[in-house]
Amino acid sequence: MLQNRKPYLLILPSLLATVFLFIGGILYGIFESIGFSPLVGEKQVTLKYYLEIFNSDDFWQAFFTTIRIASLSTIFSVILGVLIIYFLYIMKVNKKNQSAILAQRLFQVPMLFPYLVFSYIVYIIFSSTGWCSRILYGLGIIDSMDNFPIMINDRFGWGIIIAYVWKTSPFVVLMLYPVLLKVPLSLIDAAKVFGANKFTAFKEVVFPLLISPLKLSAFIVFSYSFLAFEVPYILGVTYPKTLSVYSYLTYTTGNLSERPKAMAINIASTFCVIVIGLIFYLLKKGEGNEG
Amino acid sequence: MTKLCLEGIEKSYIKNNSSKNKSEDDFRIQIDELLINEGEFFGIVGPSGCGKTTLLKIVAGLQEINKGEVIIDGNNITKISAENRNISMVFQQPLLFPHMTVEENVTFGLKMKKIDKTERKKRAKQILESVGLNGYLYRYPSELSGGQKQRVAIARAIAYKPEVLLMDEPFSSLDPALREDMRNLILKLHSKYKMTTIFVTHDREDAFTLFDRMAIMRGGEILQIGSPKEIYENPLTKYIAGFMGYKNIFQGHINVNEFVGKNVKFKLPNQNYLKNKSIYGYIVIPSESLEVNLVEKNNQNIKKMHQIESKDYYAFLGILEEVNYNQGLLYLKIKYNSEEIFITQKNKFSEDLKIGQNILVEYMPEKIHFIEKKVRG
Amino acid sequence: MKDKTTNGVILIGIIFIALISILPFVFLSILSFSQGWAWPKILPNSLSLGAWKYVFAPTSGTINAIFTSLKVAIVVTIINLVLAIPAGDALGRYKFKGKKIIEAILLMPIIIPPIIIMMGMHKTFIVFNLTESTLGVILCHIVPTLPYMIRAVTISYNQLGFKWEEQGKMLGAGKIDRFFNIVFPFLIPGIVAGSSLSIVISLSQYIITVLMGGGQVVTLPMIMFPFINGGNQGIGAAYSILFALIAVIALIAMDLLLKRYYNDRKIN
Repeated sequence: MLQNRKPYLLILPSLLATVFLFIGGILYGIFESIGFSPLVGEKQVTLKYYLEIFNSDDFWQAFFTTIRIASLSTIFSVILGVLIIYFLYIMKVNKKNQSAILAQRLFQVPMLFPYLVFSYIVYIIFSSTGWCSRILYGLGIIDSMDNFPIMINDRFGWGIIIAYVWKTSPFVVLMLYPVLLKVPLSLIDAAKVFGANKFTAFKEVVFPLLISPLKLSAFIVFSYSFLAFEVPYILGVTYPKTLSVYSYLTYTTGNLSERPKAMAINIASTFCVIVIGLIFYLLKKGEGNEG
Repeated sequence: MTKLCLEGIEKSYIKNNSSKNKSEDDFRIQIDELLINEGEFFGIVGPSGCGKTTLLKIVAGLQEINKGEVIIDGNNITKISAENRNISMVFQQPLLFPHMTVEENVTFGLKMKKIDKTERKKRAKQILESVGLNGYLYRYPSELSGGQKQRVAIARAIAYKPEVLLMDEPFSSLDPALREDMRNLILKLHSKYKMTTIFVTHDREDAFTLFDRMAIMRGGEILQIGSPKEIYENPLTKYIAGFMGYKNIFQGHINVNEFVGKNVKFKLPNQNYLKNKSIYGYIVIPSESLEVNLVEKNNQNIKKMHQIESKDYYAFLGILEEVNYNQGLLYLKIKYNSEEIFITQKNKFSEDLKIGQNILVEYMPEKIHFIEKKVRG
Repeated sequence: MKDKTTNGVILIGIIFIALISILPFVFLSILSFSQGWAWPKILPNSLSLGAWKYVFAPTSGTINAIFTSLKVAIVVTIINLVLAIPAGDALGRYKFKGKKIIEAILLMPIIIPPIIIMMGMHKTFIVFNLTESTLGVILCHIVPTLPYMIRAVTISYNQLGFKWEEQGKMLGAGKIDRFFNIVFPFLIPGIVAGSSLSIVISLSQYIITVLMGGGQVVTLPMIMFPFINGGNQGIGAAYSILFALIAVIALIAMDLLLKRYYNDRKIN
């Protein structure tokens, strides 16, 4: 019956576009990484590129650097996001609704700037010659440029983390805010009557409702900061690189025969993220229905 | 023993700053004194917007006041915030915490009081049994019906062992069919746990079934306090009479032996204190204090009819306008001159009554209550 | 009473948020007007329009880059709308087998940055002559933007449900009438949200435009890049502010356009 086919027809154009461009990109990447590039004339499937990267120190350095940066970015942006949500909650409970909306909109402003610009902003504020360093000098806390801790282009990746956290915590807030809005004030009143102060009411009544979207946004933030390119490119160092920078440089500056290796790095990174995502998903399922 | 005392309470707020007619949107609540006894089941009754929910919230600590004091057991708790008062509340909506089980919901207040887990579990089981929900410990609110949810809310409020238990129209969101069961449940719980309870409603049925004493509220003020029976028998104003369900209310004046309204007259036993004066006001006649008798084909009644003008016979003639039979009782509307009289009585007639019939109505003058008309009616 | 401390905390909180949201803008503005800003001065040595003059000089290619960026962003958004509106209908209102998997596939690009996809597609694009062309850039911008549009429109359709259209059917409205008078108004919030994201994300793309455009399709981020990665800080700052302004203007324009369209329709 045509009625049954209707949704499939409606979804077809988007699906085709996504399959050709997105899935296609991944598949071609996989193929190239196993040496199968018919368009260039290579048809021999081989795992040599994967073996090459898993045996290289460079790869593992990049891997641990990337995991570290992504994990810390996720943790800090989640913490900051929840703090801001708590703050918006306090405003809502004190019936300062207009201020809450204003604050929330203000907080979204960083989402307007591209990561590119953000990396730049972090640079001009936190580099050794940046604003922060100048203010500290003015306050007498440091007495020379060198005494300012290196946060940009540093081996640990602090600059990258700052940029990611600054830009992704608004995203976390964006995901959590609708849930906060849905909590009726009368439910908080009920908690108050039974002995909960504002903080306890948040902890016992509001926060449990936030856990689910929080997990999802944490995963999205983690995935993005694990795989993205632009921020570590500008704010990172030559060594150790993140996986994304490592892959891109291999692709563009190495010779053509190195391209499959770059693909292997990409696929390995993506695979890593997918595995972590699956772990998340299975954990979530295991928790059962929360009503 | 006075449990709760509200003194000099004043709270006003302006709803809409930009309104043209400010006095219409202002809301004020003013209570000079309200005393509630220990273990009493006290009701607050009134129409929507009269301030009864606000009053409850003031007791709970959810609403701040401009002036006045709230005193429990002699302790002034006015400045104490809601979470530190030992008062619990059942709201119009169950307001159960959606991510917690029934058990966790019921023991939430106990958890806030830092009572340990085994004790909490014990109390939860006890209370849930009292409300008829044993076995529901581990369900989630989304799995319950409206009535069940409200019972959990009641269990939660009782488990808290508050000084005062507050209930804000807890049945208004439930099916009417459920309400009688819920009323019985509340009565049972009250006799078991003997908590001082304040119950807000606009439903007369609730009032007569549940309350030891009650206050009638209107426009932010208390108009009368008393037991339901007292208020019914002695309403202080025409408004209260209407609220208590009186349908026979007439304006006019009384003098030494009768009441004279616009179109009606009722004989009254001698009001000697009036002498030559007459006072203007209202009379209210309870519908159940009138009795209807057929005049046609009934010689006894025809004889009575001829005695209508005699001094000690209290009756009048009217025409039947409407009659409704409901579960053994008759609800009649009689036209007396151009006024309507409402009567409720047992059905003693073997035949159906006919509209337009002549009816002899006998009344009990001692049940007629007079309210003097004051400046504020 | 307690209110004063809460009010104080709220004030501090708002100041904090305002700081971290507006501070970047403030810094960039000062920087873009600065001339010589040696450490450790808090404020620049002197002010000048030098950076801005450079930015708007015809030789720097800024205006062309802006046009290219906007052209790509708008076309991408229109294509996204055409693709996402039916998809949102299916996902938001219908139940069908395989819905969860299809939805997952369509939304996956949110998690995976486009550079990974585009490195894979590069060879294919070369073969199809799509590199170094605006069309190629448009196609690759669709990947990171389409899922957001789909998600936004799906939520709108979800709120719409079928009941309003059924009412319309009963009252005799045909398919097209129903779409424009009943369905479309419900979709507007979703369309506005999705288009905003689509425009901003497309404008922000850098590396995939470099990769696929091969340097021939020049967008604003590409012009900006050398100044952001070292280079004259004043110019970098000026470009950053310009970018933010363009993004905001584009968003406001789109918002007004959609609202005006809807109001016109309403009067009709």
